[in-house]
Amino acid sequence: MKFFHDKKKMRGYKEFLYILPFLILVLVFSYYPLYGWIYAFFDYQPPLPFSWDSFVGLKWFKMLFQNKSYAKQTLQVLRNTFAMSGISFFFSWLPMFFAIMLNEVKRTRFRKFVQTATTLPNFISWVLVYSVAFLMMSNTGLFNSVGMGLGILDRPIDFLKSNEHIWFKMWLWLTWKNMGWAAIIYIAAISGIDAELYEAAKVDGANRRQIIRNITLPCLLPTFFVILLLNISNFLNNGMEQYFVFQNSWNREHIQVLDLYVYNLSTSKPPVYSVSTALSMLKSIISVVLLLAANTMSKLLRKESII
Amino acid sequence: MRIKKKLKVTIALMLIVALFATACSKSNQDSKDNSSGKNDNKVEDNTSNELKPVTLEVYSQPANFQGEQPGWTAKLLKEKFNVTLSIIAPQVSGGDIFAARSASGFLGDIVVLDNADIQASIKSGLIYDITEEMKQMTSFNDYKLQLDTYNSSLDGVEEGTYYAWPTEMTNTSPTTFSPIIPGVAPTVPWDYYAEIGAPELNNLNDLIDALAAMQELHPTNANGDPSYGITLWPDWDGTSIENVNQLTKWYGQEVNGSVLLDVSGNIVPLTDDNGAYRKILQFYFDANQAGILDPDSGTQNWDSVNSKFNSKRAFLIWNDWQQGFWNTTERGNNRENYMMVPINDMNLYQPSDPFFGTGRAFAIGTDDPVKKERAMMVLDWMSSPEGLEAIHGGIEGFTYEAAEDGNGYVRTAEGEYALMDNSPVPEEFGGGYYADGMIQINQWMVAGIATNPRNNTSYVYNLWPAEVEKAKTTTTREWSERFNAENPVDYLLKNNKMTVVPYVNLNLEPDNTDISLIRSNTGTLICDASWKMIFAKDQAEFDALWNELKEDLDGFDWDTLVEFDTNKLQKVVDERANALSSN
Repeated sequence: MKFFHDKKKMRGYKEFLYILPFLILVLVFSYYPLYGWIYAFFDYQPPLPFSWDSFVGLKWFKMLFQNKSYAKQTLQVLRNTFAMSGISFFFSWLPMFFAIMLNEVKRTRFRKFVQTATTLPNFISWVLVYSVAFLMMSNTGLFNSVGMGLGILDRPIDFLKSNEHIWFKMWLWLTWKNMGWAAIIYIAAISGIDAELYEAAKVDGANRRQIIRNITLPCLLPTFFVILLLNISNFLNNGMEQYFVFQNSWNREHIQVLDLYVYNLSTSKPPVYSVSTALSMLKSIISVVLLLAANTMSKLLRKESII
Repeated sequence: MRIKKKLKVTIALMLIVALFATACSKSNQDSKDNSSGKNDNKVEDNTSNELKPVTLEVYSQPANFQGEQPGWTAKLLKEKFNVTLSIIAPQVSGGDIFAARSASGFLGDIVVLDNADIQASIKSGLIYDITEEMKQMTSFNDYKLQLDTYNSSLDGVEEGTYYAWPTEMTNTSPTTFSPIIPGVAPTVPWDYYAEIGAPELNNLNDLIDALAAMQELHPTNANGDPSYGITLWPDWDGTSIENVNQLTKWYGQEVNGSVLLDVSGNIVPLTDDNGAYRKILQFYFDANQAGILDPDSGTQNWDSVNSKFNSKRAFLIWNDWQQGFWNTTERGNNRENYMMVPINDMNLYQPSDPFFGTGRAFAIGTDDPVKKERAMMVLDWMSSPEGLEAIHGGIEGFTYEAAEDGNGYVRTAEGEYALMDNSPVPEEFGGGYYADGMIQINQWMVAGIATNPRNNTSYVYNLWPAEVEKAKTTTTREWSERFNAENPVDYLLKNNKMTVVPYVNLNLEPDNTDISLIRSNTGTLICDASWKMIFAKDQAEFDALWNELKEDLDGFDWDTLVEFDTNKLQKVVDERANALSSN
């Protein structure tokens, strides 16, 4: 058996076996589900099994843009998705900024308290967040009761029904819930920065602001860019729970994002699985394009590629 | 270092102790389970002739509970048939479980599905022929007409074979309405109504004036929380607002998807300018202008409405929910119960008793002989007088007992509150809590208003003679005096304010994907526009939104949907005419 005598080959196989379980996992959980895309080309109505009679080709894709109303609907959903992802993308430096500021707080107890208090909301489900929002902001909620009681308001303000600045308000809720959690990785990165750099800077007489600008920030930038790129590929995945709980008849035209639209369609009665599959396929394609674009940008700007 | 080491040792010790603790408790539990298992076997030896224990999976469309059937019903089934029910509820686990389970070829041993799904499941071989077994059932002959009608209407089923048992059939009549309270009617707190002088209501405007007068006298409830004439909620909305849909029935029309079907069989689009849907939107809009509509109506959920109903913070309620949420004998004698008040120009659309069933059916989804046999035993019991008494009446000796005059049953003191309070059930009946222990399939094979052949009254307590007598309070006496009738249904029929339409149970054409997509898209448009209309600034905005909605709908092929629904419902209209002429 010549095969086993070739030590290099042998080692290659051994190492392949090491990664095999992970390859299988990826195949099973990331590639096998793509088989489900087949539903987008059929008119699938459970419990009737698949048959070639129900093959419809690209009908559902065309349908999304078949006339003005449908196209308007699809574009509206895309606009909302891009707008809300865009806002969080635009403010994606905030957790890093927060981590740097937190790091400058010298009172350990206070720092730990702030960190815990800002991380906790991440573990509250959106359904509960909405209950809290309803208790505080409904017409008989905390704000309106206090406002009316003190005579500041003549009539209750309808916070939840209002459609004004809804994208920004949604971003505020999201930030309140996620910022502490997102800052963790930066806090970890800061503690990994070589202490000698700081000491040297202090010896050279640098003040706090200079240290932040010339040491902390540059050391955090690689982390920031990796997270930024990952966020871009997740651009369309801006979740749906948040919008699902906050949606109502007044704000839906501005709050219905792609994921929520797919959900609303696939839970209608009877569910239109085929159309929602077609929609979510579109989503995957756009995500891949965005990721490639971001990667090219990164190559151009930083001479570094991440994929 | 030392401290760290100590810490490590302590943690290790703690883990070991924890491990032992769980192991011990596990073995304790095991031994308990064993002992109770033995007891069960003993009981079973006496009653069910050594049937082997079997767990049946029940796929139930309407169930709100998923898991093993608990409590007193579990004990009954265990003792009678040595059966444990494991309930699968698409309403809990998400609707796509239907697609997943049907793809695997097995829905459940017992299945409860909507008519359209029953039909499709027969075609895909998911449910089985039970002709022979069905003929052996205790109640087969009592419901033969209905079973024949239903099964012969199924596509691709041989004449004379049986596949399914329609839900909630009655043995009364296909053209009469047995209950004493209509399904949907205006009810208000009797003391407030009396306080404003029990005015005659000629139309919806009078109703708004009456509610406004009540709200002026009682801006808050006893606890000081604000109360409103009307409160609405959006979480029941489908393809139009549920709170509007229900009220269209006051004016003789019922919302069916994209169309309105009236008592005489005419079908018009939902968006008809003279239709009841717009009329009710206008009513809510006027109510909001009058300041009697709860401003949280568009954003609150049913839970928060429920607590408002429970604490008298809403005056107009369109269902008889207050029977369960508020009305009691004591409050009735204090004149505080909610009662129906008629509006002179209304013509209630009231479907008759569901003689032929309510649009779903029970069927068998297994061909394993043991499971099939046992599942049929359970279905037989659930549709027999014995099982129905337990399902509708509760536990004899705990929630009800024989009436003193021997005429049917009467609820015990515990029984009156068992459901409302979810009272604990004594260990001898199976323990747990009463409401939790009710059969969690959440669907009945025979309706509670059907006549029990054992005593010639209904299965459900409302119509038991002793209960009818007990329900008479100061409130009902005053009500009868004011309206010169025995009960609401009596009044409505005497004064021609209600039309009973035959309840037909047909296999209607299900939506295909194209129709379903139109329905979903237009539904969102209708709901959003309707809510905006209710809370519109002024009449001009209200009208503008309505016209805009009609234009937007056209872009989504609304006409195709209306045509589809009209053709579909024409069958219902024809069948109703049949039922009336044959009766």
